[in-house]
Amino acid sequence: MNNEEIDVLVIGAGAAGAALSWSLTEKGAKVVCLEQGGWIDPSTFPSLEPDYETQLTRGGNFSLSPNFRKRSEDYPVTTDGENPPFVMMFNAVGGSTIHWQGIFPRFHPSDFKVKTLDGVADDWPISYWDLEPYYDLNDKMIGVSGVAGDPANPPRSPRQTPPLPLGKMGNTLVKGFEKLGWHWWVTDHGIISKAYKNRSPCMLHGKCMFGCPMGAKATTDRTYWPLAIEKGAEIRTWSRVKEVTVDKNGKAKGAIYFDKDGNTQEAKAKVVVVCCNGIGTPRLLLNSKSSLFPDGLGNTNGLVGKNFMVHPGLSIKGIFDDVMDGHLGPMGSPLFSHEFYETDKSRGFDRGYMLYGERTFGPLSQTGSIPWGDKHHEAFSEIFPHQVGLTVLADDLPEVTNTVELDKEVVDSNGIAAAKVTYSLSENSKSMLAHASQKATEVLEAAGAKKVIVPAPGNMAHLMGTARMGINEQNSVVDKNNKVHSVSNLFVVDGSSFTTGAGVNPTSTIMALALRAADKIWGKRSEWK
Amino acid sequence: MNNKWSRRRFTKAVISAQVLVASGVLTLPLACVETKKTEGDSSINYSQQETLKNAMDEIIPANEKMPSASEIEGVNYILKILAELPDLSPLFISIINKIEAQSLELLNSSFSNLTKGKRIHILTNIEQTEPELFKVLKDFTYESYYTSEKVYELIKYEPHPTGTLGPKMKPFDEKLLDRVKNIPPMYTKI
Repeated sequence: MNNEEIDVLVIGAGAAGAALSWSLTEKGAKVVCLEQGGWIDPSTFPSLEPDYETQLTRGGNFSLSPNFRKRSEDYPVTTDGENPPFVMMFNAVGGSTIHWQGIFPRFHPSDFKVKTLDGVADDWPISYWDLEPYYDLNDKMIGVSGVAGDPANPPRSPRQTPPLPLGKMGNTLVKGFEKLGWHWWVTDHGIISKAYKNRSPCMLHGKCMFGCPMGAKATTDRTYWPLAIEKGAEIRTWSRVKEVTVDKNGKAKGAIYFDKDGNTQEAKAKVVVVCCNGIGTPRLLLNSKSSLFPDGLGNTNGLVGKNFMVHPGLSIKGIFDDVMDGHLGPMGSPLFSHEFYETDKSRGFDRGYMLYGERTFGPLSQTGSIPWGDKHHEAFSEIFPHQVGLTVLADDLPEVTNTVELDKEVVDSNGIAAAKVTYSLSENSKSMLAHASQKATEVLEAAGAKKVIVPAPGNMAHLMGTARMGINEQNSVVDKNNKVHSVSNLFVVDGSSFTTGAGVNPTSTIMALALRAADKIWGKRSEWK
Repeated sequence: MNNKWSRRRFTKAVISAQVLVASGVLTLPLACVETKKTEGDSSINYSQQETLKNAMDEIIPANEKMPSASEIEGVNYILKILAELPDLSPLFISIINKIEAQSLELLNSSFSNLTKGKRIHILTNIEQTEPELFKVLKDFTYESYYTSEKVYELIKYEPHPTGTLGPKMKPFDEKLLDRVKNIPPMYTKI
């Protein structure tokens, strides 16, 4: 496509960029997507090798963190704060869906109205019901395994494929939840258990985060992109955007980017959509400075990069006498509980959290706390294969002090300023994690664990909140349709547009928002010039 | 990933992978091929390899059921890593030299001639005084051990690399949800 003919320029080919590009192309828009990475050769996936765990223990070119991978298409992310996050993302066609676990919950209706209900943070300018048709459409597009009927969530349409197996560890957790009489449900996954839309079903290898060559996991290079390309969308790989450009009237003009040879190119479009994740998006906006926007694009009120959320978490392990084989089956989660999801002020914190069963990697990654020396084999045989993971994912409310900024010293391989992330747990999050730790321990003990190991708090690397959605231009970056307040033809569509983080994994909501934003962009096409 | 990888080649590779995986034809070796290294093609000489072997065997010793680190070719594994990642060689040489220097300084003997208890004393001392250096030795010893096909057999771990037929698991039994299905709606309606 000629650089002058583009209707919509999309930056980033991950979960949001793919869904949005497909939808707009399907409607008739001429879409070009700039992606700093390339197509990934499935034969290079570490999951094909028995020593894939070394990607976790000492890094490698498929490491979860760009700071360890250090591919030329990655950019460094420096960290700071009391709880500096472990940053995970992937830069390629498919984005971070390449190494996600495929856990696919939806937000609750209450997640969109936390100010109204609980007096904290801010309400989203849209409701669950505005997104519901897009959740459904997205589920049909990618294929979800699971079962409808969960009383903790609004009713939803039948899942496209049956649930994935629970396995021994999942069934053990069921015993714990049933003994306590608490809520649990089988997890929705963006991993198909039966063949769906020319994709093969999951074969239960359990190495989903290190590449799924058969395509059972809904990476967007295997779901949305083939359909979008068939309809005429173009992806320009190895194209790293330096800045979004604006004209003299303050409208987005296009983007300047480095091509694979390091040469500078410019693409012009009627509409520009930034889909670079909760770190990459504020980084790009802050790097897009001009005389009209000296503090960065969309940053008139200084909120770009503020309110960074990452989902605090705890990876709690129960040790059992029986063999649990927690490494068998899809790496995601056999089941979850929303027993403590909605606010109950008597617990001493606002909002709530999800507990979910989480499978383990193989033996190597379970040696982290195993002593060396004469006690080594005894200690190892106690935990392997006897561990059951019960992970806490806590709602993350926005804090203006948790930020993504431009690093003043570090740059990427094209000389563009890197991102610096600062994060500290709020008192609300600390109280929530303490409560969740006790409740997860109760479940594991009820399931028969002889020992429960509670680690220090970590995070889920869900990158959210840094270009937040809102009604009021003074406290948000984008409006209810993901349009940047101060620029009439610039949109931000990814986790950075989240007003609050909810207590569930974000990808389903990111993709639903992208499909909705595509409708809103297309609906205003008469204003494209 | 390389920058010559195109959408067309990607599509062809995807189709091939799906067919081969579904048929179970695509199977891969369960572990890296161990090639014996000699002093001549290693950055670590024989004496240093001996120190490394003895240190690794204190980190993961043998017991009545399990072999020691060196008994599953742990030293060869390290030599293979160093051949692939030569930048690591100075680090390993530094670790080995540290072990030998402390043995001579504290116990007036080479590490290899020490008794088990005295070797542990030296390693514990290095762990306390040079924790990051010691961690490198410990982590690579663990890696050599827990990526070994022999160890997989002993701990009854079937790695099921993607590309082989996966494990058999019972389908989800929806009857398990009978109680929960009857819980009234728990979500806040708004």
